[in-house]
Amino acid sequence: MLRLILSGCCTQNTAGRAQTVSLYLPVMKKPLVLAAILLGAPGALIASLTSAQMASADTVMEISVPTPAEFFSAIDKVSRPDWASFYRDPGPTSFPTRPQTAFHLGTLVADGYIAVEAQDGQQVKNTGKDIITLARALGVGENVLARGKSISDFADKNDWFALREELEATTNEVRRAMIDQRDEALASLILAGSWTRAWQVGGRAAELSGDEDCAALLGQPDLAAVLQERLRELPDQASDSAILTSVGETFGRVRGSMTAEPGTALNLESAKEIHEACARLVAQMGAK
Amino acid sequence: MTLRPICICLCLVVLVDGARAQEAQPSPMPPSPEVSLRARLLDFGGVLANEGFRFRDSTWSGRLEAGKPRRLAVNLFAGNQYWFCLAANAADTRPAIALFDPQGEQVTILGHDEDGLAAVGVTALTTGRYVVEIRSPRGPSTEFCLVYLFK
Repeated sequence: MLRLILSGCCTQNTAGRAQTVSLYLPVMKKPLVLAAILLGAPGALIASLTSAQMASADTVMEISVPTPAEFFSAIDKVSRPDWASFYRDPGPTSFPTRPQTAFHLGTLVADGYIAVEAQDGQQVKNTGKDIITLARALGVGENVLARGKSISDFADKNDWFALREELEATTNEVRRAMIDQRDEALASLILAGSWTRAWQVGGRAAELSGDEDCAALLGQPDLAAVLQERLRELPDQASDSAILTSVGETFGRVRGSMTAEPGTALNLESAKEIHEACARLVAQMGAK
Repeated sequence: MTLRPICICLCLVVLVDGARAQEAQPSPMPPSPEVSLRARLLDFGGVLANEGFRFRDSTWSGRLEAGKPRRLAVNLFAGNQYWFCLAANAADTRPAIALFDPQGEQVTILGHDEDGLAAVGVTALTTGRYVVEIRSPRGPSTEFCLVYLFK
């Protein structure tokens, strides 16, 4: 019963009538009343925001920036790609610079989500090990050792839901540890790496499917802007590396490709551009 | 016989010391508002999690004053289903929550509200930057915590 009603709750109500839906929760043994919040209904909020109000909304990186799991979940609904075809050969687990290490750690997080979508426990475990190795190289391995064990345990149990949450929690812990060490640049590069790899795979998935709806999921110029802006805001001493510049430039190009003409959705050509730009950056950053 | 008073004294000393040690132990700290609000949200969202919704690891928290809405940008993907759940800790507070699409139009959604808690669920029709607005229509200012789930 719960399944039916929750599925219904998440559809748009076009009738414009107030509805009250009661849920009976077998576990909690109590009714939960879902009341419709409809435009114009008593207590409803205003029906639209001005562009200034939209622009002034807070951006909290930990929650405003989605996880690649959300992106992949949306792709999976549209085109059901062969996720295993996006695996990469095992790459190096040591890099000459910390920024490169942080960026590569981010790409591995996205690889972890890809392996979860492919429901490949062994691949998740391998990726989890590499993430911990790179976290150690960044000096925060101890913070996520327990997470590495959890990833391995959940992979053994094929608990894909828990694995998605564990991958996000691991990323957040590494990022928090970086920020505690006043290394915001590295924390930002982890996110940047994660999304570069996610866009690379998302763009390729759209190309392979030939589905414009899949390409439209890459219409994320605001997300690219947030990540690019965060790199720009880093203090000067963090910008000593050409890496930040290179990532920022790629994000600028990708952001342009993600911006569709008004009233149109992103097309497959743009998806290809995004895939290629991100693939170049991932390859450049993965080089020793 | 002569040892008996000494044993009694020793026992008394041990008992009194034990009692003092117990008194000296700090009483457990009450959880911070964010922790207790988050716990409430996890409890509420557990039902959704059983339906395949996944919690985001992080939350948005802070202070909410009556009549002063707060807004958070989130990036959603077309086709995904989302639930945004908000908890506030002031008594008699009925927080409200709304979602606006990338064009700033309110998305018509179904939701749930009760004292100190509000939640809305939606299927995103377009990919892009949405804004979640929360507000407390009346009452004292309150701590709040928001979490979202997706599938």
